[in-house]
Amino acid sequence: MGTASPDPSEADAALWGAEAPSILALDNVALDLPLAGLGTRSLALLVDGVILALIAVAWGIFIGTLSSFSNLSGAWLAGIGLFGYFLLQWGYFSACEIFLDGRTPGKMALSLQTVTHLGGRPSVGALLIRNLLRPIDYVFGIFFMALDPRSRRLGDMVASTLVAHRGLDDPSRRRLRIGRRPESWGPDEIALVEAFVARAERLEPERARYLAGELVGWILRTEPAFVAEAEGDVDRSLSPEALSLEAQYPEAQYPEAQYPDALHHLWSLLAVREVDPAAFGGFAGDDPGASPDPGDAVDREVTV
Amino acid sequence: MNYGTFESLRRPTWARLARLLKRARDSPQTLGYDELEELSVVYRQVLHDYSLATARFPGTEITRDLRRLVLDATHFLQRDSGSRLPSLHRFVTRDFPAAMAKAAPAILVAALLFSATSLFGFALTAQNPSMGAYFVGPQAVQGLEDGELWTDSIFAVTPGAIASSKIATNNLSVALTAWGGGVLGGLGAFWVICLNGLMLGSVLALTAHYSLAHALLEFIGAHGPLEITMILVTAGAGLHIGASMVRATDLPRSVEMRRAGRTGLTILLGCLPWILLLGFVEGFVSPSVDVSVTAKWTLGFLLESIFLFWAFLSTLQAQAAPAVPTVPAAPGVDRG
Repeated sequence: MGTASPDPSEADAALWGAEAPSILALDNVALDLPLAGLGTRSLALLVDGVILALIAVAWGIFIGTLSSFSNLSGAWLAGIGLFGYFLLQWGYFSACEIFLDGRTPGKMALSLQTVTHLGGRPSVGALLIRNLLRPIDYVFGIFFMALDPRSRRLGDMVASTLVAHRGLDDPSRRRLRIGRRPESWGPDEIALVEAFVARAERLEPERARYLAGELVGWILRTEPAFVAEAEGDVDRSLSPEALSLEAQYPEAQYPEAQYPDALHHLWSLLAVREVDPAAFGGFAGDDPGASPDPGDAVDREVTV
Repeated sequence: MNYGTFESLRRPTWARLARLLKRARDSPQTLGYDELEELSVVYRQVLHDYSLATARFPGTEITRDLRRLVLDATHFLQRDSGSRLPSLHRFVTRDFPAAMAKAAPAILVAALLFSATSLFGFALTAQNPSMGAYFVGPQAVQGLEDGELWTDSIFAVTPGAIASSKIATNNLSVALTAWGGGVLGGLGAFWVICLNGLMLGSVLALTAHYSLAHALLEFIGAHGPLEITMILVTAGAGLHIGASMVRATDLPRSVEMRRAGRTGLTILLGCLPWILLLGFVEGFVSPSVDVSVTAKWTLGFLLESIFLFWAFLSTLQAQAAPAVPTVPAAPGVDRG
């Protein structure tokens, strides 16, 4: 295929950090856990710091109001107030991570989560250890995080935890899936077309139609057998010009103005259909009985 | 295998895992035993599908979706061993004494170090009393010259409730710092031990110099012994963690550190309630003139003995019944 084909695995590597070592799951299957780096984690800490400051102010106001309403002596209130600050300082992160499934409000804001070194759920003990070591890490942790390939600070090393990104791609987004593709396509071609299908709706319409035209032209040129088989399934409402494009535009250059139906044409060629947006990872909504085999659909078209 | 065939053959399995996982998360009580078993089997199958997809179809949508599914399932299914908190009874009778026995060498080192530095501090200040001002401050020294212990003035103006809270939080912070300082290869814990030893020795020498040692001993009688023990035990737990980072054993350091971390945490959690209690004692009992010196020292001795008895319970039990053979843990198996 074309020389300008993007390498999706390379893009992935850039996104996740190419040197980040993967973790090993059951049966030594390498799991590409998206680890969070120094920057993201510092940002999460900043958010937590602001929240912590707000809670501290609220606690001070609470104790202040309590002193004018309750008959507790000022000394006891001051004692309780002091102890509250101590608990806040040492307990905020531990309590948040224990009760919010490894997340603090700051981590939630940045879609981060504390996981074990195997990507699982950490125990209460591990979460306590990593958060009680936090004050030490405020001084020394940054060096360890910068040097460690998994961005672990001292607390993470002793508790054997990692901090990972979570929910980076939004599974509730409308998803389009390709129902049919040429047999000869390798992962690069599939990934390229899938990437376009996934992003087409968010591109400028002119740009999307132009790129779709390029892809249709490329498919028509390189996969005549696939096109012939798929033709039966192609939407008949398309203009006749669009269906005989190969004859009209041998150079496979289809400016948008000349080819308004390009996106539609590509969608029918590839039998693109929508999947349940609520489906988790595009799987949960599947009916286990239904075969997604595109061959059936083509066969039915032909017999009609 | 072709991408389309792979998908059509395997997608039902992926969907099954996604649905079982959703149910296990939302309403675990509706899952039967067979379904739980299926969940684990299907998880393993999908893990292998993901492995194949990364090798054969890198960068494709299926690989990405499978990765999300597998990461999600791994997070849900792979819990740390011992995810639940132990019961209080188990913690008191087994976990804490066992942890103390494990960290005993490090705690002993902490105690020896503390004794040595407090002797050094005592000798230093006895030779040169001006050294003491460095530890207690010039104002306190001025008070000592007038025959008054600095604790008198503190407790004369500060009510017990505030003093207790201040003392407890301060001591908890010292204990947590000594413990946490252990992760710096033990250096942090080492520093806390030496500093506190020097301070104690120096303060004792200084009060002796002004003939006020009896007043100080009266003041610290109720809380002092256990308070020093608390610092030594938490700092010893920190040293235990630090030693696991430095020492070379048959196990990888990551495993040793994890184990030492759990032991250290157990000791720390066992000590925190005592430190809170000591805050009350130091805030209310120690400065009180109504409580006799004998009562204060009896209380201090009692607190200290109860703690030591509890802490070394398993050592005592092991010596009482040494005949029971224990099954050694298989090498390389981490029960972390």
